Formats: sequence, structure tokens, C-alpha cells
Amino acid sequence: MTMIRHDASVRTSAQQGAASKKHRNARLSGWDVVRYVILSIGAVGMLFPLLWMVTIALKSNNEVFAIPPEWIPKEMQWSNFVTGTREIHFWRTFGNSLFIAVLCTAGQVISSVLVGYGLGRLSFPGRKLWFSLFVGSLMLPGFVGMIPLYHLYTGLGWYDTWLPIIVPAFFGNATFSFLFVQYLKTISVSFDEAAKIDGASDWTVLVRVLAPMTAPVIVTMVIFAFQGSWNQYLEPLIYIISPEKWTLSLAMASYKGTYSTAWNLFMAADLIYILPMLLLFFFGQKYFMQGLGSMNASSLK
Amino acid sequence: MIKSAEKWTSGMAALALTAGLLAGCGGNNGNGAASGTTDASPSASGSASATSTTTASPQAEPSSKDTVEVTMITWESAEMNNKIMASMKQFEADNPGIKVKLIPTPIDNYGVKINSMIAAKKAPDIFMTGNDMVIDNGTKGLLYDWTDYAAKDQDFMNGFYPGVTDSWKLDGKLVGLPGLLNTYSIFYNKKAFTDAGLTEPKIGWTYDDFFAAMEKLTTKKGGGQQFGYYAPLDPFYMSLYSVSAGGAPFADSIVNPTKVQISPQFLEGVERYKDVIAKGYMTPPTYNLSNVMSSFKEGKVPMTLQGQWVADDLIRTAPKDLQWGVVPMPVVNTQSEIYDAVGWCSPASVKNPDAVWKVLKYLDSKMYEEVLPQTPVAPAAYQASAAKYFEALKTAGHPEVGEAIDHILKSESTQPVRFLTSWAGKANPFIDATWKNVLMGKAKVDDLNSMADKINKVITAG
Amino acid sequence: MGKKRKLREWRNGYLFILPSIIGFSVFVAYPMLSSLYYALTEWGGYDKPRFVGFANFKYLFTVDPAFWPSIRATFYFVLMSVPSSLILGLALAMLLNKGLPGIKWFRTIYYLPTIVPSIAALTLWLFIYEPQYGLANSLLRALGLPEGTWLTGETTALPSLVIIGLWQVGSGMIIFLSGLQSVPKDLYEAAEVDGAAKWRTTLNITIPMITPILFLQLIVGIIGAFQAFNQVQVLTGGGPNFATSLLNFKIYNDAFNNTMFGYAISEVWVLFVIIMVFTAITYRYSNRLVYYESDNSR
Repeated sequence: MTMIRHDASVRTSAQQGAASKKHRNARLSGWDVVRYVILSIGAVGMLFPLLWMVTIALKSNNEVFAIPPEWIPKEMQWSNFVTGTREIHFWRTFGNSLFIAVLCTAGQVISSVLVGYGLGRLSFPGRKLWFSLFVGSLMLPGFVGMIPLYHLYTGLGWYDTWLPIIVPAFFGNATFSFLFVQYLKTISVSFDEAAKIDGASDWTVLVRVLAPMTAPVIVTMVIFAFQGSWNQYLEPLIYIISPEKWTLSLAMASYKGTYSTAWNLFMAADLIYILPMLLLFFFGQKYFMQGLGSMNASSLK
Repeated sequence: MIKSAEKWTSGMAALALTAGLLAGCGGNNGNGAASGTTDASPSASGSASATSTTTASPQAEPSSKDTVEVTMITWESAEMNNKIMASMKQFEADNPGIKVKLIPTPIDNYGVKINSMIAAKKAPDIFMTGNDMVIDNGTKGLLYDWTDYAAKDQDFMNGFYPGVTDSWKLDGKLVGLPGLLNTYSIFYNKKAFTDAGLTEPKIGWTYDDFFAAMEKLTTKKGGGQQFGYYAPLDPFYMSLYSVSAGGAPFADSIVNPTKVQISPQFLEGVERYKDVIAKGYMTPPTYNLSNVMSSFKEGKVPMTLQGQWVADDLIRTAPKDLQWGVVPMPVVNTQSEIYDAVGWCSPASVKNPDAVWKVLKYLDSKMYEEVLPQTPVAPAAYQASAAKYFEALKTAGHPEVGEAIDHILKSESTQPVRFLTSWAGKANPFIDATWKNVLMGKAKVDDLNSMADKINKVITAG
Repeated sequence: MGKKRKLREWRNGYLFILPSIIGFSVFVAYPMLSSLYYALTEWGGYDKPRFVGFANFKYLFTVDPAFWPSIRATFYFVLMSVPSSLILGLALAMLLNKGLPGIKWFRTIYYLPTIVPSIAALTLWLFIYEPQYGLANSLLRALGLPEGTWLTGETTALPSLVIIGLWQVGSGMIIFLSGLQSVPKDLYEAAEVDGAAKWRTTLNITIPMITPILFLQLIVGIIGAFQAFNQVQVLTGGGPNFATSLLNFKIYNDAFNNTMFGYAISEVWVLFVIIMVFTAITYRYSNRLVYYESDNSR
């Protein structure tokens, strides 16, 4: 593919200044308006189901099945939010889930970054092999591991603890490692080499040079890892018995009764369930949306 | 500079790892008051009254060396669990030295949960089980054999409805006790019948009446198609027609079928049902029936096939002006009904069988006597407790439910509701692949014979 | 490079990837190897396995009526969901890539569907797709359009599941977004200075620069689609008439509901081989098209 390449170090600072000034002064172009319109239409599609969720959360259980479906419930049962959380010792399990999620996130991100760096920047015999193996492991459907690992964990005495959930997180996540490797490929090796000429070790290159530059993907990993752990259901189901150790996902599942389910309470509790993720994402945006381009350019100097 | 950064990050990692390990171990010691046993799920009936009564399930540490703790698991809702445990308090009072503890669990993947607990040797002493689970687990030798205890306790065993414990025996060994019996009957809307100029169905009504009623009850008013009959239909239900008409059943036994058969009477039933489905009098096999009862409560369903547990829900939450009734399935000549029981069993590794047997007996009889009147979900397999169930229904103004169920339970001929054996997993896909298509006319009726052949091959192979 | 330095790099390399080596051995290799054995047995999962040789595979390919429909359903699903998610994710990311006022809200809105936990999201869609009182059909009715069969129709069930996946395209979008953000801004500025048209910039700068990410999403997407399972379990149970019986669902069903664990593991191996082959083919063909900045500077 043809590509316009421009050696940045040649440009004068005057040229740079002129370019950014042009940016700042640009008004909303016609294309921007089109952009907004398309985004708004899509946003409606995204929000519709969620608004429906809110509606259900506010209804009484019989109303949930009314034909034709109503958007505004006859009576707003705000109490559903309170009932929904009280019934299942929400806040304690919330704390459990939070604790587990923080640990799992830290473990996955740290180990994946380490592994990704090793695979992406260092050369050693067997590198290609291990890379293929790790990525290949993604192709193995999760169920294979379930029973053998189950026997392993119970043999270790980890049954009814959080260990089977937390410990594996510290041993690398193939998807995140793969992501990090690919991301690193978009960053020129000259940064590494420049640092090494200054006497930096591999570790320093990772921590001081590459980590800041890969902030967007690291924040992405944090968001995904947290979410994965927050919503994890099958492992907690199998390994945890005592209700004090339940995670929120288990508590949510207990809403389903044999004979009938309180859908409205279920949806209400779910809305609260997704709040931490929402906050995490909203504020995390700031970090990886910052103009990374400027960071790239400044490090060159 | 570099070294300190290095130190810091590795320090944090070590800290996180240790914290994780400590937390894992710390969780083991249990955190104080175990009030956690009752709040597994909210009231299932949909009414706003949330009963969060604290059941006094005792602590894990026995107070004296003589106290034995018996653990149990059910898949009932929190409300029902509360009532069960309240009843067990009485048992504890009568039997000092035995404490009963309930372990709550989400219903989702109950089977997976129980099986993994058994494998980890951490299964509770008593757990609720379906007929198929108990056969499956029993065949694998995972369950406790109660035969000896039962033999010594003939008085108790005679209290069951005749024949109900047969399906809970494997090679003569009693691997569990039936607790509640599920029966399937037709719930109908009285107003729909009178509006269509029909008399209400009575016990002993025929398939001719049935199909005729379906036709008259089908309407198009009220926005969209309203079928006359809303029900699932599988070979096992069709088998009821077959036997009732004097033919052979689909599966020749409840516990261990040796073959499946498609008799001429079976085919006759298939043709009749195909007819009403094609004419739109009955829901097609692809119809999603999971929320039929909500529509029923709104008066939009004239007839539907349901388990008797919906009667409990209807009594409590249906609008007051809904006139509904219950009648057993129709007959051609003789009566034949589905047998479907759920009950209790214990893992083979039970430590205190004496105590567990005592709890089991109480659970399966007295407990139901007390709990069923409050929540009449099903008749107990134990006759004395079932009587209380029928009484409760009568008091609620629906004696016909009890009459219908009693009639069903006394049926001479009973059939399985599904395959209960370990080869069920291989046999069922053959039904899935053919049955619905035949009913909807997309496959030849003759295909049922090849379906039966394939199932028989699976049976003889496994 | 000096020998000592080289050795040090080798050692460092292994040290860095040590977590994954351990992880791979314990969580992947060990289960895989033990499963090689279990695939040849008849086993309920919690009792003693019984060796039966290749009987499971023979049954799977020749007798099981659910197998070939599952293969068909799985392939349809992959072919429908992967390209559509990629294109939609990239398009949305490009739309959201500008620092316009309020864009932050839009990003959050598009990401929102992905943070709803599976049980809730899938149950929600179950409600939406319900033919009588569901949102989807009532909307169609209100617009005067014919009702859809959604999950109950043989031809519409799978697309209905794909739609849910597209609703949750937010996570893919985020990855593209972070990729787009990392394209050095000076490249764009240089292009502007050179007087390049907008679409030219997109074609010749943006796309090539994010091909590593595109490639990642393609591979991960394919692997993920082959392993889809949750939506089937909650929404359709494999029906109607095996239309949505994705292979991974069949495996779960056979393993945990039918307790045919040995049989299920043999199915897992079949699925694994399929995924491997498919991925290898994709890898071979697309790797040539990927542009790597780091390769250029070496």
C-alpha cells in the first residue's frame, strides 16, 4: 500500500505552530454536523434497550408482561431499587465483587504487559513459538479446562475460596498480551534504542518509555479486565458455596426462581450493578483519549 | 532513580499477590453471623410483600460434642426456604442433638453445582433432586443407599402413595425419596367456555370433546391470534393418547425403558393433533410458551396444559374476576397419566446416616404437612401431607384442583415425562430433529418410525 | 551485539513471559493433554471414565443428528457476525475520533451496552424479541410493518442473535478508537501541508496504520464467534430446529445437561481444530496486508 511518509524531525517549529493554529481556528464543518446526526441515530438504537430496562425496573411485576408494552409504568415503583438490593445482601456481595475485580484487573494487566513486552520487543529463541502458543490458547474453548482444573483446585483445598478466581489472573491473559504486542508494533523501535543507548535496561524501557506511550491500550485493558471479572459467573458458581463469599453475579442469578421471577427487581438491581463499570469507563476515557499524537512527537526530541 | 521505580513496582506486585492469597485464606474462616442463609432471593410471587423473615439456622460450630449438623440444599425460592426451615425448627426441638442447616444456591445450573459439590466431597447431606438426576447419579454410585433404613421403617414407607417410590429404586436399591409429585392438567378459563357456548369439561371428558372445544375457543379478537389450546407437545404427551386408546406407550418404562414404540394409536393421535395445529386451534411447536400464565391471568388463554404449581400462583396473584378451573387430560378409553416426581437424596459419603435419615423422614412428611397449606405448590408423595395440600386448595375456593390431582395420582397407568436414563442425552436430539417437523407437516409422519429406530439403537448400544 | 548482551536479552525475554509460560502450562496445556485422553472415553465428569477409543468421534460424525446442523449454524454465525462487527466498530470509532464537544457522551453511550452483564442484557433482549408483548414487534406494529418472527423463526433466529452482538459492538469500537488515537498526529499534519484530500488521508494513512489492530480484531473476533455460547443458552436453547445450535452450546449442553463429558470433550477437539484451521488461513492471507511501523525502522 502506498503511504505518505514524512520525516517529522525535518520540520521546523514554525511549520508545526502554523499547523496547530489552523486546527484551533477551524469551525464546525458541514461534515461534523453529518457526523453528529449519524451518531445520534446510532445512539438511539443503543439506548433503546437500556431505557426499556429502566422501565421494567420501575414497574410492578404483573405490569411487566402487559400487552401492548408501555413505556411509562402506571406507577413508578422506585421502591424496586431498594427492595432489589436489600433482598440479596447487595452491598456485601458488591464489596466482594469489587475486591476480586480489583485484584484480577491488576493481575491481568500487569502480567499481560510484561508478557506482551517480552514477546513484542525482545528477541530470544522460541519467541515465535511461544507467541503462537499463547495466541493459539485462545482457540481452546473454555470448557475443556473446567473439569481438570476443578479437580486441581479442589485437590489444593481451594474449594469455597476466591483463590481459583484470583490466582489465574496473575498468569497472563492471552488476549491482552496479543493486544499489547500488536499495539507495540505501531510504536517505532527507535524509542527503545534511544533509551538503551542512554544505558536503560529492558525493564526501564518498558516502565519509563513504552508504558506512558501505551497508556491508551493499558487503560483499555483495565476496563476490559475489570468488566470481565465483574461479570464473571461460572467460576464463582462452581467454586463458592458460602453465601458470605458470593459475588454480585451469583446474587443476581438468585433472582430467577423455579416458578416465577421478579423481573422488575432483577432489572433494578442490575442497573445498580452496572454503575461501577459505567463510572470507570467514563473517567477512564480521559486518559486514553488525550491526544496521543502530541506525546509521540514530543518524545522524539 | 531507575532502581527505586523498579523496587516500587515489584513491591506493589508482591503486595497485591500476598493480599490476594490472604484474602483467599481469610475467606475460609467464615465471617461472623450467618444470617446469610435466608436472603438468597426475593419473594417469587411478584407481590410487593417481601418476606424477609429470619430463619434461625444455627451456627456451624456445634455447641456440644453430641450435636450433629445436617446440611441441606433446595432449589426453592427464599420464601419457600424460609417456611421449610421454620418447620425444621420444630424438628430440632423434638430432636435435641441434631441441627439442620440450609445452604442457599442460585437455581441456575443447579445440576452443575450439585455435581461439583459431590465431586469435591463437599455435598450437603440432603439435596433436592429431580427423578432423572437421581437415576443418573444413582447409576454412577454417587448416592447413599437407604434400602436398609427403609426396610426397618415400614410404617413410614407405607405412608407414601402406592407405587411412587418405585421410580426411586435402582436395582432394588432405594437411592432417594420422592417428595412432591408434579401432575399435568388442563387449566381453563370458565368465561371463555361459556362465551363459546360450551359446557365446562369434567373428569373423564374425551379427546373428541377436547378437540371440538379447541376449535370453538379459537378467536381472533383482542389483537392477534388467540389459540384454543396453549401447550407443549412431545412424544411423551402423545403417548398418553396412545395408551388411552389401547395402544403401546412410547417408552415402555419410567425408570429404565428398553425400547420406544410408535403404535398405530400413537400415529392416530399425531394425525389429530397435526390437524388442529394446521388449523390454528392449538399453538404450533415453535411457539414460545414461557409467559403463557401471564396471558392466562389476563383472561386471554382459554385452555393450557400446566403443572399444578401454577394453581398456587393463580390463587395468590390472579385478578379476582378471573374464573378458572382445572380438569385432567381427556381420555380416549382408559386413563393414563404422566408421573413426574421431585424429591430428596443424599450423597454416598454421608457421615451421620442415622441423623440424616431422621431429618429426611421429617422433611418428606411433617415438613410438607406444615408448609404446603401455606404454599400449595404440589401434592406431597406422602399421603398424610398431601391431604393437607388438598385441604388448602379447598379452603382457597378451588376444590376441583385437588379433585383433579387426586384423580391423576390414582391413575393405574403412569408414564415418564421424559427419558430419565443416562442415554437420554443421545436420544433426545433424535426427537428434536424430527418431532416438531412432523407435527408441523414439514416432515412425513413415517419419519417417526426411523426416529424410533435410531433411539432404540442408542438404547441397545448404551 | 555482544554475546553477553545477547544472553541477557534471552534471559530477560523468558523472564518477562514467565507468567504466561506458567499460565499456559497449567491452564491450557494440562487441560488439553488430559482432555486428549478423555475424548476417547465415555465419562460422566464426576465418576470413572471408560475407554472407548474413537467411538465418540464416529458417533459424532455419523449418527448424532445435532452435529452437522451445529456446524452449519456455527459457520453462518461466524460469517454473519465477524465482518459486520468489524466494519461497524471501525466506522463508529472513526466517527468518534474527533474531539468535538459532547463526543465524550456519545462514546459512553456506545460503550454502555457492553457493560451490562450478560444475564441482564440477554434477558432484556428476550423481552424485546418476544412476539406478543416485546418491544421489537410493537414498534413494527406501530410503524405499520409486518411483525417479525425473531427468535422463533428458523431463518430469523440467528440474525436476531447477531443483532445483539452488534448492539454490543462498543468494546471493539474502543479498541479501534485507541488504535486510531495512536496514529501520530504529525502524519496527518504533514498530509494536510501536502494538500491531501480527506478521503486520501483515511485510505493512505489511517487504515494502514491501524492494520495491526484490525488484524487483531479479526483474529480475536473469529475465535470469539466460534466460541459463542451465552446468547444461545439464554435465548433459544439451540432452536428452532437447531438453527441456533452453535457448536460451543452443544458442547456445554452435552457436557453439563446430558452429563456426557467424554463425548463433549471429543466435540471440543473438533471445534478446536476447526478454529485452528480457520485462524491459520486468515492469518496467512491477512498478515501480508498488515503494516508494521516497528518493522520499518529495524
